[in-house]
Amino acid sequence: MNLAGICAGLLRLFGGRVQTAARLEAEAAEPPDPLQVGLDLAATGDPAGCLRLWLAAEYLDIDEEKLRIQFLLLDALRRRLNAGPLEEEEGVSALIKEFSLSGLPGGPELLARCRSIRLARLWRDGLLEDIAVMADQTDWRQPAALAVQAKALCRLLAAEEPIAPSLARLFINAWLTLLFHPEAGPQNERLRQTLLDFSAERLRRQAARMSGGAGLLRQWEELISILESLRNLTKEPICAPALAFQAGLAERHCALIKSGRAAFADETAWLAAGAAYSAAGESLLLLREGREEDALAELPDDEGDSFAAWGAAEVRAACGLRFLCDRRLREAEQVLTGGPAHWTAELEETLLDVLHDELDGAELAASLGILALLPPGSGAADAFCAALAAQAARLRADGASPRLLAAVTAKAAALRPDDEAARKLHEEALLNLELARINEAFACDCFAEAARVAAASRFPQAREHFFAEAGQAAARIACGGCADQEAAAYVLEELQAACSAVDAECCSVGKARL
Amino acid sequence: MNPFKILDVGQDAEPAEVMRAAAQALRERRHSAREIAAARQMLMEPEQRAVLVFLHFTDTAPLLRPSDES
Repeated sequence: MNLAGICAGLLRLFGGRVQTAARLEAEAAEPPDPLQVGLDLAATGDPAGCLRLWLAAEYLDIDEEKLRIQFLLLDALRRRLNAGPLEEEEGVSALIKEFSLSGLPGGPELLARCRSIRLARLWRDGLLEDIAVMADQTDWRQPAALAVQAKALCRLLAAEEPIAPSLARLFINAWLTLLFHPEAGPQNERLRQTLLDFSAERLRRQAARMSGGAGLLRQWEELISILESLRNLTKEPICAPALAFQAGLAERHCALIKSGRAAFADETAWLAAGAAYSAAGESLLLLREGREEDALAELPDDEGDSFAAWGAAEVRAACGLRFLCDRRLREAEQVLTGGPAHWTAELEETLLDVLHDELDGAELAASLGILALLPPGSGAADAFCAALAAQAARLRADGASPRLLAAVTAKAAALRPDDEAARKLHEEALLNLELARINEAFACDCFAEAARVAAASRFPQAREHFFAEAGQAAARIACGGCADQEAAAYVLEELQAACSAVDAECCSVGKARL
Repeated sequence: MNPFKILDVGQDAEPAEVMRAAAQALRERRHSAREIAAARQMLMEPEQRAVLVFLHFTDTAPLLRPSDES
């Protein structure tokens, strides 16, 4: 029984007004039509009450009416915001969410306006952390919103409490974007420089307390350099790459840089700036956060654009270096050789360090793959040659595979062609490799393959070894090494043909013997 | 710390007003003497004050106005 029913009963019990009781009883028997009640509520200026009632009555099939009231509510909320933005924002935001109004035409704009007002309210109330939380939803194109975010972040940074690296990165992006903003930023160069010095000092203090702080300071310097160059190209507002991607302005920045080569100190600075806003830009941002694997996954499929290609090469080099530092050599090789990668001094130094370790065969092979990227004429060639020669000596002592030994010594010799010791080491490794291949071929009765190796070899020892092995094979066959006479004759014929391919004269002697 | 709040002065307060506000703040004892002295010193130094004005004041009126789209 509903409330009206209970009231009716009570009125009857206490002998009250009989007529009222009868009316309420009638109402209890026939519940009011929610459609009509809702319309009445909407008509009396309570569209939210109407929608709430209708949403509770799920069986109502009145989509058109609901939509009409939703629009009515949207208008009412707009008026409420206009009448008292700071006072009404919270309530309006709650109703937009409750009735999913952001999906209606005009809904997203009202929601965005609520966010802007909320920023103003949080600034007024000094709730700096709450402002920072809204960074993902901030419209960075709006100068006032940018100013509130950037100043709140700078005040958080300047406080004594340590802040998270993600917040420090956000500060760098927002603050520098503000300091270079033509309208919301400082209106004279001296103040801009004072603000830069002030905030750099605060950032240094924060960076000293966190791991990866050096990366933050590098990001700070890089971004200042990019924004200073961009400022020379346009009077329009310019954004840090992270904010440009969020605000949908990255392509515009990219085009600006493409046509403004002269504003940059050199080709590398120009490419680096373009890459930051290119299709590889988001991957570079992930890299700055230390998320190497995410950065690789985010690399664009199409690196046709010169900026995107430069950015992708930067990502591969940095990820390769990280894997190299972690001694994940196979992954480092895959990344560095999976596409163009920048060869850096840091990469070179780390690879040299790695080559001074005791590496197993797979690690050494991966290192050789990476070393293939060493630019020709590099000053580090001598150091790499010496490191490889040392690895080869160790491998030989450990009885490593002749193939690996040959590859290592080949690279060492190629790095320093005038190094006699490296050349001899390589010659020796090559001979051993050919002898091993002849042995392998004879082991599976592949006489033609053994003959091919011996005939092609420039080492007389290879041919001598071939005939020594051929003699042993012939003796084995003669001693009944084959299933029957016919098979033996066939194998001998093959052996004879192989011998003939290596040395026709020797073969005729062998034939006579056979 | 926000020296404007500690001394309860606006961004355009003249040096004399800052001094008076510092004395008043000391009497009211809502902040420590050290904080009040630091706030006064910050606001008396023009370059530092310019930084603090930029940092602690911003025009939020555009955030309250309806945009063209809505």
